[in-house]
Amino acid sequence: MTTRIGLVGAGFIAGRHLDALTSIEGVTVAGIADPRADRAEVLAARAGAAAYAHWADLLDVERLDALWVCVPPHAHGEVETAAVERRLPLFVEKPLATDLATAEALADRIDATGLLTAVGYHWRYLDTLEMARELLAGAPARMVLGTWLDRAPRVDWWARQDGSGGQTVEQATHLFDVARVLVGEVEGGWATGSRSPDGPGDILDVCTAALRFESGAVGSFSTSCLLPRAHRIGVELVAPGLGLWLTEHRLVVTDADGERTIDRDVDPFEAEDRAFVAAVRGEGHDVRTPYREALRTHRLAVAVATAAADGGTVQL
Amino acid sequence: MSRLRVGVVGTGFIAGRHLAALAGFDDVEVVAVADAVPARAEEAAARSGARPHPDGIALLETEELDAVWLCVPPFAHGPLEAAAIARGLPFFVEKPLGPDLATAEAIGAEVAAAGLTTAVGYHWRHLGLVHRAQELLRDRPVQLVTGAWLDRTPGAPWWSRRAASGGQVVEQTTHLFDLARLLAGEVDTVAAVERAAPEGDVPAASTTLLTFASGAVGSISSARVLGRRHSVGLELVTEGLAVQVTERGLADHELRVSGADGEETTGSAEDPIAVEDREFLDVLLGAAPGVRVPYAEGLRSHILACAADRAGREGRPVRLGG
Repeated sequence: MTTRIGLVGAGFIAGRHLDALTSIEGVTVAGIADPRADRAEVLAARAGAAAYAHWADLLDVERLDALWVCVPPHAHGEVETAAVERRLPLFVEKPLATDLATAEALADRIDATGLLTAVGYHWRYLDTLEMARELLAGAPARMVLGTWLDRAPRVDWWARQDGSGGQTVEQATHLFDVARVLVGEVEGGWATGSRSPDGPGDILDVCTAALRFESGAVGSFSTSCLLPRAHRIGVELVAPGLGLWLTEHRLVVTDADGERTIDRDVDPFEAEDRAFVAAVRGEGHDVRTPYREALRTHRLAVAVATAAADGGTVQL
Repeated sequence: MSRLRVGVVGTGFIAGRHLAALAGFDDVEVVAVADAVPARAEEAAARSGARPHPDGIALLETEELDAVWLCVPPFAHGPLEAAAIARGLPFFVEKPLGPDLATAEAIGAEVAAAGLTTAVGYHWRHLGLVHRAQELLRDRPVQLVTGAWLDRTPGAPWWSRRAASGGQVVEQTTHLFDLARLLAGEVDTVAAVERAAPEGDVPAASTTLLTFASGAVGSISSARVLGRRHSVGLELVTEGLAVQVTERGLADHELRVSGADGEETTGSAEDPIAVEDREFLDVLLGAAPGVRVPYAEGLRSHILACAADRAGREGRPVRLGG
């Protein structure tokens, strides 16, 4: 029996999910919705799916077992609400929204229905992250340094605060999620940022935060979208006798035995999609970031971004 | 031509580097060496062909010198500098200028009043790689500074005591604060978080948040829990360009430049200790107009490091004075 999936959004990340989903046995991508008809049609053709201009039509016409929501950050809210009303299991891409209120309202709705959900914090599916977790079990992190130095993505909504929520909310959120998994919850700290008049859009060009974790560890998270390409994206962890550098592609371990690099053995996009499909089918329980859990990471990212806008304290 | 006569107070690691550098110059003679431990003073003296002294004050009181190098632990600063100033004797002093602000500010005032020639051992400023970084950033305002000094805990027993060493931020990471000032300008405010260590009261790890007068922001972190030096360096981000300087050893540095055309890494085995010593000697000889880091300039970096340390201890932001 096939698992029929709908995809809302036909941009870059939707394409990644499409590739992963079409490689899973027994999965049919039934329909793809995007207001840009050309993009919807391109992806639909790849998947043998129907193309829709509006997600409401996708939901009305297609019989679906689950919905992947891959819309720009500012477009979250309505489509998820409609899915929750239909009790349609939801995979939602990060960030949950540009703001906190939208995500909190959705989390309450989801909890009220007990709906199955997952959020695209795909780093949680890296085998290298599991290795890092195991190593840190013996030597807890004293410090975490998250860095996201990149270029601004070329989509028009990204460099607008009301489009993306800013780089901290839209991108660095992955680093906060990894830090929460490996080091624990943040209790407070400071953040600051700046933008130059020539910087893209109206978002901060650079942001940096100094955070205190409940465990006593400290953290530093720095972002910039001023560079010509992805320059440095990853999480450095410092523990007694142990240094770790985790990126989306590899883990570098430095300890008494020297330095070694472990390339990832898992495609985290595929892994997260497989895990959710299995959960939808009732066959697996490996959803690592349900909506309520993702909200904790989103709350941290928003708190840092809010503090950075004024150069003040991070309130959680 | 007669050689300059210099004395060196202290015989630890960095003093050894200065002694080695000075031995390589044929227009200077190390005539006196001092250390509180007689055996160390005698051994260093023998190696340099110098006279040993049981302490720096005795050395300064009895030797005819053209200059003195002060390479003592942080807590030993103050009386030596004062004695040198009283004699009108130019001095090269190693960072940190003291374990805290008070001593250094007092000495700074005396140096200024005396108009004495001085230099501070912020050796990164003497690296060709750093000069290249300055050139690259000359017309491109820095927006973000990220740096880290991730290392082991040095073995000297005084190092882990904050009152004696000033702590890691004041004693070690001060180099990165100095480089940040050089490349991104003065800092307005610092905030910091720190994590206590089980042994000694110097934190296991800390992060300092910086807001620069230019509007740039930054983060400089320190940790002393690793097995050995792990990573020491500073990265500066500006529109379209990232420039990173790292140090693996005193004569082992790297500059990484990432721009539109790709990434370029340049290594250097230059010895910045020899360069800074040569610069000071040239100023004494009248062959150079001034040093890159006179006491007043070194003091500004020390003030920044002390502010960062205080922000961590007190748990609230510290504004740097105007």
